[in-house]
Amino acid sequence: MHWFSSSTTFFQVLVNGVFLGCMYGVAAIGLSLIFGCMQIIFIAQGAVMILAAYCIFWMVSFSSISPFWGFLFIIPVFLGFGWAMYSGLFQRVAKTGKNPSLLLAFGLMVLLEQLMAFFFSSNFRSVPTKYASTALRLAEVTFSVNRIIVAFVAFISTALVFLFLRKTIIGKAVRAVSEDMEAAAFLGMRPEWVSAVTFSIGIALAGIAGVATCIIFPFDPYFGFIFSLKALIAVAFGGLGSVGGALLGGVILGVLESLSAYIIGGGWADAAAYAVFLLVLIFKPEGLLGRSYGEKA
Amino acid sequence: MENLLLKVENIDVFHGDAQALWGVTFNVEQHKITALLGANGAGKSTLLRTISGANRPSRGRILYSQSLLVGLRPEKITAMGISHVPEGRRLFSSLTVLENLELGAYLPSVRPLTKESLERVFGLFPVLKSRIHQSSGTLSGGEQQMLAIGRALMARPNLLLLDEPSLGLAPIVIKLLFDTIRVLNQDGVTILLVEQNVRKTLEIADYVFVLKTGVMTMEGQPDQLLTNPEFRRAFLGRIG
Repeated sequence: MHWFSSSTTFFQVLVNGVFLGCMYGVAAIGLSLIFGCMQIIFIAQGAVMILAAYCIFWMVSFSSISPFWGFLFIIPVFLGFGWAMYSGLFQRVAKTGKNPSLLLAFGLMVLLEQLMAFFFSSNFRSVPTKYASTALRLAEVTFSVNRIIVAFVAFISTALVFLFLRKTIIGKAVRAVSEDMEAAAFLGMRPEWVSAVTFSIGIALAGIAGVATCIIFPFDPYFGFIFSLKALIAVAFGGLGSVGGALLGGVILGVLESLSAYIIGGGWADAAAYAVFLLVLIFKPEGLLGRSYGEKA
Repeated sequence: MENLLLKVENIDVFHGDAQALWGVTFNVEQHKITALLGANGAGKSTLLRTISGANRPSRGRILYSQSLLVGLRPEKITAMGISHVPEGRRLFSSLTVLENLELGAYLPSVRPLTKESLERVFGLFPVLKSRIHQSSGTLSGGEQQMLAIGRALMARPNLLLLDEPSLGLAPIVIKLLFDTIRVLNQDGVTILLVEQNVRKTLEIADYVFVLKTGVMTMEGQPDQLLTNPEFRRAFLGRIG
């Protein structure tokens, strides 16, 4: 470990990476759910995150509510937002094929970015929290309280989505529709309804990731795009269709970035992460925990 | 034939520009096993898919115990008591056997009966019970077909549409499946069976229709067809 001045530094860099990766992970789970069910690459995921970040920014600016309550407020609002987006836009477009859906998602991203820039200006905003400077120290490694809360929320969301998919009949229907929409309809499931549920959960997860982002980073209306890319990479890392894989993919990406930023310098963090991403695509294209698609009869 | 459960009247179905069914008319009698025979590409699957709402006829009517099916969505038709076991089984292969069965009872009207329905399916196909936590993609071909039928039965259908259940299976498994189809029928489920296995089908069917390149060409009870020279030439040539 001669790259690091001490093992404490190494662990500190590692911990920072894990926290960063948790945010990528939550956004990635949403992306993975939406892609798995509807084959839509929802490139606007990052813009939706930033919209959630602005919601929290204005909530905190006009009231004394702690931004952490934003998690509770953002979930129902963004579930509804997702439902409206799906039934108003994607449900119609999805019938015409995958490319129109991708174009629609791209258009939506640009629209959201421009609307936010128009109404909220392109200035960087940040959300102050009570714990901004509070940190826990454990064996010389610092854990900022903000980041611990964010990581906690990430794990809770992942666990809830996982339980939803495994234990509830609607969750099982989501998995069934993701595999074979027509066979699911033959059993009485309404694919559009199940897709709307999935899309809404995906958007709510983007909302959660957005709240997490605004607690940790200053942001502007265009800050989301890089998160969409990172979430896509996290999904590819973990494997499509795997919730745990998406979170793990996010964490791996976060750690990679954090380590390469420390070892070869900040400007190289993204390049190193993308290089590893390419290697994964070449040598393990189904992702680390991905389901294999070879089983279908 | 006063006990008609399903009446298909003069339907035309297109795949894009290509016409797949030409003025097809036939009936399914209640509590009977009705079979549709025909070569590959004759339009058998298209016909089943039209009944269950996956395809739409451009002309004609489909009546199911007095109600019109044309234009209804597949999930609605399932809720009316018609279950379709599609060609190639179409299981949710990453889901377990139990999850596949549970989803068969997805409809709110049958969901409370899940437990009893499971017992019934395990009674018919005991091998599935020992595999409930296995993912369905790991089952053998015969077991997958049993699961596909079991999953459809979870919706408590009156009418079961079976699309080539014997496809790709060993003779001993085919015999088991056909025996089970007969048992199901005796339990009161009306069956519409699409098959290419002519001899097996003639053994269990009450009435048979023959489809050739999208047109109904022959019909009759199995023993009538067996004495029909045209039918023998078309289907039993090498054996007969």
